[in-house]
Amino acid sequence: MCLKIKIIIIGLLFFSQFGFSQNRYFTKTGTIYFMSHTDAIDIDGTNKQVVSFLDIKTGEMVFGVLVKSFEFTLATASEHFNETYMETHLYPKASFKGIIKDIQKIDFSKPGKYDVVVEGSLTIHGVTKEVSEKGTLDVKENEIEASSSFQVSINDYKITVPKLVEARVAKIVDVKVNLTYKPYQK
Amino acid sequence: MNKKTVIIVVSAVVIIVSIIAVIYVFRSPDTNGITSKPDYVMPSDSLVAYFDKNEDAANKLYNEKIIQVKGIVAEITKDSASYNIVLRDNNATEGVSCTTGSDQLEKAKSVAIGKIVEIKGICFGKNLIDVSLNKCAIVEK
Repeated sequence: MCLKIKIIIIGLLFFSQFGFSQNRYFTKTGTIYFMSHTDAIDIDGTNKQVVSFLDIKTGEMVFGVLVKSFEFTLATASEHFNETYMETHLYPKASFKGIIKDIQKIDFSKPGKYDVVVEGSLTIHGVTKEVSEKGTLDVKENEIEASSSFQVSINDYKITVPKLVEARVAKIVDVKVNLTYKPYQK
Repeated sequence: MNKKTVIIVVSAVVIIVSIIAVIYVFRSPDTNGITSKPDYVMPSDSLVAYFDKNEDAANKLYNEKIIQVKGIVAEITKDSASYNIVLRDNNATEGVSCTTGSDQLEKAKSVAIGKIVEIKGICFGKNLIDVSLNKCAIVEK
């Protein structure tokens, strides 16, 4: 292979890699908050170690959550949540893999808020369900803030609650996601 | 014992038990770094390699166990209650993310990027890129 062709190939590989990295955004300090509201008691938990990638060219979005990293207002809730409901020894991770629809309609060079729809597979407690939720992307100078509020039915993910405490755990849990993406450097 | 005394004693017991129950339920979670001996000791890149090779097997072996890892500090971030220290080899893309206990703030100040440190914490699994250790304590030699 002559030197000229080698230089062209290396150049193309370099620029394709460079272009790719510019499209990828990342966070590992995203937040997921949930609230189980019942007449008997409110139980809420926050996870501040959510890892997520967003590709602004393809719209691909993936995030992973170590369930044990949820922190609770009630100390005793943590034990019940991890051992009885979420069975973290069997299912340590929750994840989402999906796509932001019509991502090409968003001008990422222009700061502003954009309503989006995210579709994909949400895996909780070892059960994967197809979901579609509304969210917001707030495009800023060098970061993108993504947020969404939605509800999760614990029955959909085969999370069972002992009869004795059934009245203390909501069947439908409110979930809020907040992610601040920065350009992925690696 | 007359009826009045019985009522007073029973009421006192009910009140004390209620107070203990409320304190138990609403007590602050223990956020200090762990003090127990580690179940496993290894270089940080070996722990990452185990999870990369077979995540399910690594979860079964290491999750909720105390792991002590030694590695190069690649990132340090701080919030109000803890430091997050990522141990990662040069040129690697995955590492071990160590969230310190709230009692480790002073010790963590001496940790700097590029230094080699030993940290022990409870393993929660691997989250896309890093193996996560929590309630971490910096091991002093």
